[in-house]
Amino acid sequence: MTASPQEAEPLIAIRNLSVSFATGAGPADVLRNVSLDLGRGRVVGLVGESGSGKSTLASAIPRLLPRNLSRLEGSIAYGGRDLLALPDHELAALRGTRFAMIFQDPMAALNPVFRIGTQLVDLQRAKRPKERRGALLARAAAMLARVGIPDAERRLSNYPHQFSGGMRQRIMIAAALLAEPDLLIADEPTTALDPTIEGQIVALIEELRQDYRGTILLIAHSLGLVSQLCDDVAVLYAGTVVESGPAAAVLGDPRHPYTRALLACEIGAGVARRATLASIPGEVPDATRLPQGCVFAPRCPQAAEPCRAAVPPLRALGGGRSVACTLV
Amino acid sequence: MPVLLRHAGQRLATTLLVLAGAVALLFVLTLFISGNPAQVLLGPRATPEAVQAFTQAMGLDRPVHERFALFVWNVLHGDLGTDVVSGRPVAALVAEVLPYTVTLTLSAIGIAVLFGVPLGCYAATHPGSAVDRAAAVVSIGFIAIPNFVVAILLLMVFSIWLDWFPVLGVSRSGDVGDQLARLALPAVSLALGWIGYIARLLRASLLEVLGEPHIRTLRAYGVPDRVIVYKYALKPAAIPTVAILGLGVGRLLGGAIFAEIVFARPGIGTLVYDAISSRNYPVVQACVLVVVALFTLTNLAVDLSYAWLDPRIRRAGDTR
Repeated sequence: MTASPQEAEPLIAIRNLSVSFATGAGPADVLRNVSLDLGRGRVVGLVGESGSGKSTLASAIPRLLPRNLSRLEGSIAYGGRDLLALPDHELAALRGTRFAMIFQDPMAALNPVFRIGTQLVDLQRAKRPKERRGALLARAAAMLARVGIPDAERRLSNYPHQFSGGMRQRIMIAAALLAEPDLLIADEPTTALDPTIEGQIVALIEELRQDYRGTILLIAHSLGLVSQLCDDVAVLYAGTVVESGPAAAVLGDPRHPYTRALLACEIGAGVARRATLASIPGEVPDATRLPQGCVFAPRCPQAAEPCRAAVPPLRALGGGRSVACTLV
Repeated sequence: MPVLLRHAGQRLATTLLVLAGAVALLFVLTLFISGNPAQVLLGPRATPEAVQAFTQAMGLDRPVHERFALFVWNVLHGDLGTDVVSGRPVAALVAEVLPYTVTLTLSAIGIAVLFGVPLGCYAATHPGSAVDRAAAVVSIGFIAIPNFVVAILLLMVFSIWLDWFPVLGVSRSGDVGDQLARLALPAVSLALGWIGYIARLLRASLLEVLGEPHIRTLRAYGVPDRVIVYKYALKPAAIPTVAILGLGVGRLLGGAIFAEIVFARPGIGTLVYDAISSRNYPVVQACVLVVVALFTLTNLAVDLSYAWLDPRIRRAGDTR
C-alpha cells in the first residue's frame, strides 16, 4: 500500500489490477497485479519504458480500453465505488465530469473538420448539460486565454490545422480544465512536441497548479519531467509497479535496480556519464511471453537465484514508499 | 469567408473550361459523321434538291471554322439547333423533358442517401452483427445487378402482379400523389445499387475514422455515442462517399436512360433514345451537351462540398 503520508484516503485506489489483450500471438498480459494510490490533490507521475503498460493503466481508470480487451481484474476504488464494476452508462457519466484526459499527440487529438469552439462546447457538454452554447463558448474563450492562446475569442472559429502543435496541446489542456475534473490524466503531454515547446507546456502545467487543485496522473517516460512536476511517482516495468512513493524520496534514493538504471539513463543524471550515455541492456519482455519470477531479472545486474523463482511482492518500506524487489 | 469564395471561383472557372471543351468535342464529332449528314438525316429517298436545300439551311456548306463559330455562338445564346423531324427548337424540347430526368435522378440519390447513410452508420457501429453481414450480402447483390434488370423486375412485381403502383408514364397534370406514385418505382430501381454502395463505403470510412485519436478524445469527455458517430465521425467519413456520389451522377444519368425507357417516362433518356433511333442528330447533340453540363455542374457542387466537409482543402491563405 502506498498511501501518501499527507492523506489518509486516496482519491483513487487501484488494487491488483490485471489487464490482458487478445493478440495474434496469444493473450498479452499488459498489466499484472498493479496496486497504486492516487492521493487527493497530488501530482502522480507514472514512468517506465514504452510497452511498460503506462498508457493502459491510465486508460483503465476511465475504462477507455481497446476492443481486444480479454481480461480486466482487480478493482479501482473511487468515491466508495469500484470503477471496474460500474455499468457502462454510469462510468460514461464520470467521463468529462470527474475525469478528463490530455493525450500524447495534440495533432491527432482534435477533430480536423470542426471548429475549435464547436469541439470545446461539446467537450464541456457532459459537465454542464443545461448551459447555453453561447455561455459555453464564452467559458472556452476565457480558458483558452488562461492557457496562453492570444486573441482567444476570435480563434474559437479556427480549425485545428490553423494552430501549431504547442497551441493545440494548450487547447487540450483548456478542454481538460473546463471539465474541472477530480482527476486529470495527462498521457505523455509533451512527448510529441519540440523540446522548446515542451518547456513551455511544462511551465504552463506548473503555473496552472495554482488554480487547479485536483489530482493529476502524469504519464512520462522522462524522470526529469517527473522530478519537476510530481509529488509522487510510480515506476512501471513490464506491467508491474516495481517501485512507488514520494517523488523526492524515490528519485533521490532509488531502491529498485530498475529505477536506478532508469535514473542512470537520464541525460545529465551525472556529470561523469555525459560522455557515455548509459542504457539498460536487453529489452522489455514481450507481454505474451513473460519470464518466471521477477520480470526484471533477465536484465538485472544483481539478479540472484530467488529472483527467478518467485514474483517479488510490492512491500511497504515506510514513509509511503514501496518496492517490489527481493534484494531490498 | 473570402477563402471559401475564392475556392468557389477557381472551381467555377475549371467547370466552365470543361464545358467549353465538351462543346468543342461535340462539334468535332459532327465532322466524323460518315457520308453527307443531310443525306443521312433525310434518308435514301430524298431528292437532290431537298438535300441541297437542307444543306444550305443547316449551314453545312460553309467552312468548318465558320460552322464552329456559329455553333458556339448559338450554344452561348441557348440555341441548340432545330429538331429536323418536328422543326421545333431543340432547346425547347430539352427544357420540356429535363425536369423529369432531374427529378428522377435527385429522387434516386435522395432514396440512396436516406437508406444508405443510416445503414452504413449502423454497420460501422455494430461490425460483425447480423444486420452488418446481411447488409453486406444484399448490398453486393444490388450493386451487381444492372439497373434495367432491377427496373423490369420491379415493374413486373409491383405494377403487374401486385398492382400497387401505376405501370407507365408520368401524369403531367398537377396531381402530385399520382406523380409520386409513378416516380417511386423508377427512382427505387436506380437507387437500389446506390444504397449498397453508400452503405459499404460509409461503413469502411466510418470504421477508419472511429479508430482515430480524436474520437477517443470525445469518448474521454463523455460525449454521447450518437453525437460522436453522426456528427464528429460522419463528417470526415463522408468525403469518400461524396466523391463517389459525384462521379456516380454520370452513371446515374446513364441508368436514368434505361429507367425512362423501361417505365416509358419522358426525360432526356427517352428523348436521346428516340433521337438516336430516328438519326435526329441535333437532338442527340443537345442531349449529350445537357448531360455533360449536368455532370460537370454536379462535380462542381461536390468539389465545393469538400471545402465545407474538410476545411483543410480550402487552400490559399489558411496558414495563420
